[in-house]
Amino acid sequence: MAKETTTHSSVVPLPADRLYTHCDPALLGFETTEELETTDVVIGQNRALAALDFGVRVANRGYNLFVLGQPGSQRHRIVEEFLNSRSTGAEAPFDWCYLNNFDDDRKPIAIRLPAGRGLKLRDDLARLVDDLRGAIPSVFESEQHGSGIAEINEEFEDKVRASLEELQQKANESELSLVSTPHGFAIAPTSKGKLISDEDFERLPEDEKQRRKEAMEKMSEEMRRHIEQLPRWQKERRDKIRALHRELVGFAVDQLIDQVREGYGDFPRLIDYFGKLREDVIQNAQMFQDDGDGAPVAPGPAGASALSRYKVNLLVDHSGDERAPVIYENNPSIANLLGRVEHVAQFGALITNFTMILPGALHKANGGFLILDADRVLREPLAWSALKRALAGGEIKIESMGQLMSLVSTVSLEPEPIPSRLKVILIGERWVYYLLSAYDPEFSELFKVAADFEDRIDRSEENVGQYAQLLSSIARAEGLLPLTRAAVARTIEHGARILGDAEKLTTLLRDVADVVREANFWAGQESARTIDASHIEQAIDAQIQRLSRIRSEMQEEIRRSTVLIDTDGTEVAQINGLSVLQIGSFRFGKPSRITASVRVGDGTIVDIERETELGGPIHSKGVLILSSYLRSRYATDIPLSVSASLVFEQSYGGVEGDSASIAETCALLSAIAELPIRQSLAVTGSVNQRGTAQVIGGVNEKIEGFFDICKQRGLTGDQGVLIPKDNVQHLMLRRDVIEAVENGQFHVYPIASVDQAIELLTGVPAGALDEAGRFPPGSVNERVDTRLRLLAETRRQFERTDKEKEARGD
Amino acid sequence: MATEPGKPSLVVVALDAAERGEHVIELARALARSDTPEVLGVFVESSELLAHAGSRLAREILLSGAERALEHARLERQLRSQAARARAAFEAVSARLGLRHRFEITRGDLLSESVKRAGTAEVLVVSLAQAVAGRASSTALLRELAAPSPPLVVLARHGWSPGQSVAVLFDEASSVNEAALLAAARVAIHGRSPLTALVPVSGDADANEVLERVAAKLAAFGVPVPHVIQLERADAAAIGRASRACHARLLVLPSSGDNMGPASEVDELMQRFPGALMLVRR
Repeated sequence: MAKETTTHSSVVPLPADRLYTHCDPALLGFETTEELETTDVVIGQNRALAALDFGVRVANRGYNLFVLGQPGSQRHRIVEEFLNSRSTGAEAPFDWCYLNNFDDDRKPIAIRLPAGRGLKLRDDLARLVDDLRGAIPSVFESEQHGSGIAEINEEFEDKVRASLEELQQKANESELSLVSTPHGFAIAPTSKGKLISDEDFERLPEDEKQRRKEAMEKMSEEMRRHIEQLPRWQKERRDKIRALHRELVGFAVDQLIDQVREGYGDFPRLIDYFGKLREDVIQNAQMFQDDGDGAPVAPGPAGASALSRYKVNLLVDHSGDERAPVIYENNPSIANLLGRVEHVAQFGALITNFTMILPGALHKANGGFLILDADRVLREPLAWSALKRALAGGEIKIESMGQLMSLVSTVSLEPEPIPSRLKVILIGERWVYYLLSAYDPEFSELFKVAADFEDRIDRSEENVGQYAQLLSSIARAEGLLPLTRAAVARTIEHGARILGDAEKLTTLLRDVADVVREANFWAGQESARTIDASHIEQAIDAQIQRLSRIRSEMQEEIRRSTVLIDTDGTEVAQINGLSVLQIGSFRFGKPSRITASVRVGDGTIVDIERETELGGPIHSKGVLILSSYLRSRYATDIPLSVSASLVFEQSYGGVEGDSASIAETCALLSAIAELPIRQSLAVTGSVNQRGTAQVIGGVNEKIEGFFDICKQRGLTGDQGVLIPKDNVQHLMLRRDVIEAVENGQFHVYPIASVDQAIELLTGVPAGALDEAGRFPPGSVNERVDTRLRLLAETRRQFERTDKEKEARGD
Repeated sequence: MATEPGKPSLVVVALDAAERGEHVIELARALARSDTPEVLGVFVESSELLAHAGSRLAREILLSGAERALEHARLERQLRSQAARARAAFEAVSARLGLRHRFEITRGDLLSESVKRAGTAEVLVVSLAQAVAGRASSTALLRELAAPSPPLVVLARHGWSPGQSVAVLFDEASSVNEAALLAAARVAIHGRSPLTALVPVSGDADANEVLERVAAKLAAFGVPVPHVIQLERADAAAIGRASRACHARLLVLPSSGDNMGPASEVDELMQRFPGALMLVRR
């Protein structure tokens, strides 16, 4: 039964049906979600979708996108689905290959080919190498090659022999002996074919000795000329052998290479490549010799075949793709974005080649779309700079972090940069977007399109229907039980409660979907075939139960009077304020005692929270506003001569926000007017300089927070909460609160002003100014005005006495 | 034959200061009838060279072009060093081929020292890669070979290895013609090498009949596909040309003591033919 409450206020407590906006299951038009079709509908994001559409269609450089929105708002799903729909039917982008650069193998060349042709090129070159491994050894084993080499060698040996014979002949004619030594040749004078002894030589006539010495000199000179010719002859021999190889190998490989080249006549860079490949094959023909086991004789790096230089590194393969790529990179490190060059250790050194170039997300998405999480890119060292460089420069250049920071001196590759033509879609929270806009000048140049996702949508009939369809799709996609329409209705109500707004629905479907998943669990525990409203309720209650330990502890402290909160009786200058605490994802309301004290002073109102640096700037602003309200409302013709202080009792943490400013104003008025305040009521709401009550956040949690304390102590029917009237639209209160209101055990008062609040709290009319500028006698305002004048007079007398004492020289 | 049945045969490989002989050991093994021949390496320090070093007037022109006195002490050191390297290389190759081996160092003339040690050997291989014209003259060679010598004498300016072609001169006038064909066939089969018979045919003979007969003989010795080339003359120029034409790296010549046959042309052949010459004596 409703209990009569004693008030002198015109404010009527809200009826129960204003405390919760139900979703009528009968309006949903289905029994269970099984009847609904799967849909990928996007609810209420028309602004963001239009921005996406614009950003995707504008081809100019810099028109990349930043998607703003809160986590859990399905941004990734919506963006991916949108891009997939746009990429379908679009032409597949080019394949990209890296090939060895025969002029400088540290700088591999990048080749662009139509989709699918890269794979063909790779196969063609693999087949070519196989064919060359058959053809080239055959050349070396051929009779033509053997006889050619023998002929060249014999020609060389003939030259050497002929030269030696000539020398021998000259030596004989000059009566000299010529013999080989381990390191060259030796000559000595002879006579009749025998060496002349030193003694015999000394006995020769002087002119003969001189002639012999000159002959020796001449012979030495001849020998030196012969020796000097040897390197030239050897070089000639090598050149001839090389020329023979070129002729024979060239003949053998030309036909094979031409067969491959024919298929790529319309790619000038490939034609050039094939020309250089031919030269390289001829130069290094010995690499194609087998060791007998089929393996090439010449080893390559890391044990790989030296023939790998003729491979194709198919960096990006779009064979079979019929649309532009949509790539999401969830680990956007610099290597994962730009690609990287791998190394292998060989004999203690790190080595690499062009086949060890790996693609990055930019390569894979080139010609399409790349989705990245903004905060992850920013957290990865150097990744943000690298991404901007790639977008600004229009090319993807593989750079390692070690190289960029000059930490690595290992010889690596400098692959030719690949031109980029893609859209990057960054997804992030709003503050990231705003920070980048403010502090990174390049950001605005590169991400010109912002797609701002709504956090809330109207709770319209159409949106409710689409919400139901989405819940159906989630249930079906995740293999959950179908939801009854009552369950859907309860879930939609929960979607409104999450926002704290009865007229809106949250777009943060992650939280809503979590409730459905957990409800599915509870339904499964009961072997139910559908998820009903009771399961949704159970899931919500269980979530709260799991997270509400601290709330329980705080309520227990109030119950045990460790924290002092009165819920009955009256007190002067003491009021119940309400605050909201958020711990993790759980928010709950908590009553706080606010007290005020006054005395004669200079008009200063001390905010103790601020003085102790526990109050935040918004709270301080609220206190200053109420000070201003006081000055402008009462005894405006005399100086304000009161000194007051306000404090949140037993508050040991920070206080922020202005939602207690009505409560603080009322506590101050109570203190000045010396009128007691009902402790069965709690107040929330902010006030402006005119005394108007303004909307605050967390109204549902605040009401429930005071209700829980009252309920623990026993509902008296006198208890309730004062809220700004504009907060009524946000009410989505708990069922037990509504039941208490229905039974007249608890009340929610919508107030428009401080006057309405103080009337309810004191039971005394607030009083309006009459034409003469006076408040009605006995009203709250009249008492406040009178007391302030009294305090002013007290102060004036005090000051006069002081001056008189001063004049007397006391 | 010099070897008794059942006893391991002896192969003598003579090396001079300019050669280490790896390339001829394989050939020596292919020629030996026994599967486990003993190989004797003989390193001959040239007495002629040492005699030059004894002369105060002798000059040495190095391969770098520098010139200096030919000092005896330094030459001795160089020869010792070369002998050590030759021994190491010889022993390594012999071990790789699984041959029992010995190594001796001696001083004197390469040919006469080789022949002296090859009295009971089955094969004598003389490495002559650096033989300067005039040093290993046919006159000297034939003089040495007239003395008792092994049945097979190889004069190797270059080595021969399995797979490389073999040519053999067919000389019906020689008493060792059959032995020469047999020796050539043995080497070819051992090395799985192509074998070509060079057959001089005089004007009144039926060339086809002779060529068929030679092919049949070689086939009978086990040569799978013998080749036969007709020569118009049996002089060094024709033999050298035909050997080159069939890419031979080993040329086998019948050369008995009583009838030197084309061995009189050995000196010239040595200059014309880039491979190894094998003289079949018995």
